[in-house]
Order: sequence, then C-alpha cells, then structure tokens
Amino acid sequence: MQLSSLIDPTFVQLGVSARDWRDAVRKSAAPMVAAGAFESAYVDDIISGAEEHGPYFVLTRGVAMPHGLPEAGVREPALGICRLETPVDFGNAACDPVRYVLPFGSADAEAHLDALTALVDLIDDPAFFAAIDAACDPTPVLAYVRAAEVERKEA
Amino acid sequence: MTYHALVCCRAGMGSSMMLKIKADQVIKENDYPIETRPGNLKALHAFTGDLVITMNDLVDEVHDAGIYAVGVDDILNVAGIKAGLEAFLASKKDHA
Repeated sequence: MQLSSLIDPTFVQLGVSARDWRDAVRKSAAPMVAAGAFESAYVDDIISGAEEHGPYFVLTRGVAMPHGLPEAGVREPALGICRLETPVDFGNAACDPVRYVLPFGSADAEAHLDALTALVDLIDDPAFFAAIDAACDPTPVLAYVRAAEVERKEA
Repeated sequence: MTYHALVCCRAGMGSSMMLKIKADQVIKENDYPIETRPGNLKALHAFTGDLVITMNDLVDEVHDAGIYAVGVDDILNVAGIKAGLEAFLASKKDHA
C-alpha cells in the first residue's frame, strides 16, 4: 500500500493552533476521527501512552508521529499531516519544539512497510517540509508525496 | 554469530517500524552481525534475544527487563544509532 493512499486530503491541516502537545495530538487526529478511521478512544490511548511512557513518537527534530495501540480503536489505516501555527514542546529535548504532527494508525504495520519506508525518506527531506510550509491547501502536499513515490519506484 | 535485536516502541507499529528501517540501513552499510525485528512493549517481556533498540523514553523499561538497550532520541541520527550498535558489539567482545 502506498503512503499517499493513507492520506485523505481532509487529513492534511495547515496552520493549526495548539495549546500544548495534547491539544496538538487531538487536533491533528480530529479529521481521522471525523472520517471514522480512528475511534476517539485511539486518540485517548495515544495521549495516555505518552503520559505513561514519554513521547516515544517524536521521531526527529520538529516532527512527531503520534500513534497508539491499534486495538484501542484503529478502524482504517490512516496518516495525517498537520502543520502547527506555533510549534509546541512534546518533552523530547533533542527534537523539541514540534511543528509537524503526523498522526498514524494501522492494525497491520508490516503491510504498510513500503509506506513507512517512504515516510522515513520524506522526513529526511527538507524539501518535503518546505512544500508543507509553502502550501495553502492540501493539494501541493499530496502532490509532493505522490511525486516522491513515483521517484522511489523509478530509482 | 548473529545477534538478535528487538526494535521496540510502545505500540510496535509506528516509531519501531521506522526505527527498524533506519537501523537496518546502518546495519547493512556497516555489515554488523545483527538481525532486527519490530515489536511492542509486550513483546519485550517475552524477548530472549540480545539487545533492544528503542526510543530513549523507553530505555529505562528495557533496562528494568534486564536486556541491553540502545536508546535513540532521533531516528534520523544515523551517527547515534551507529555509535549505540558499536557500543553493544564492543560489550560482546569484552565478554567474549
């Protein structure tokens, strides 16, 4: 399954205001809850998991991929892309503050290994974040993800 | 001798998969005798391999389980992952 197939245009949010990391997680995941891909219990699990174990889903400088236990309420695999208006601290000193929040859920991550490998490459690509920063709507963000997929396939 | 590593996060399907992808790149490039598989914290308690690679937040829980832990604070920090794996391999040499 390709990365772009996990990202509905409504899952891309640009310029979201968040009070703190909990608010950022909830707002970034709200479109998936609205679409029925995640149950709200899944979002609760992400937050309680980070409260118990620390922010294990902060991946690199400025980037977090909140995710929890799939059995808590993932109905459909999905990935969101949320650019915060103002970055917030998640509690990972090496990577704070976080501007890009990418909520993810899948009941079978091994089935999405290709998609996650593509995502690792994207978060290592400054031009991806420049595209998110420049975007006023989801279209160019999704176009960048699709173009990167084509490039990977041809490589 | 091949060492067996569990790449672990709380859920076993997000950070751990991405960390596994990055750790496997480092292992392949440097030809380290380490095989990885992803898992969650529940898998940790049944794990009988040699080391766990995980996000820094979970290192204490791995230590509590009595397993060698390589902690990573940034999955793109290839130098940090490499240093952690080399320290593990050196610890094995010391005890050989």
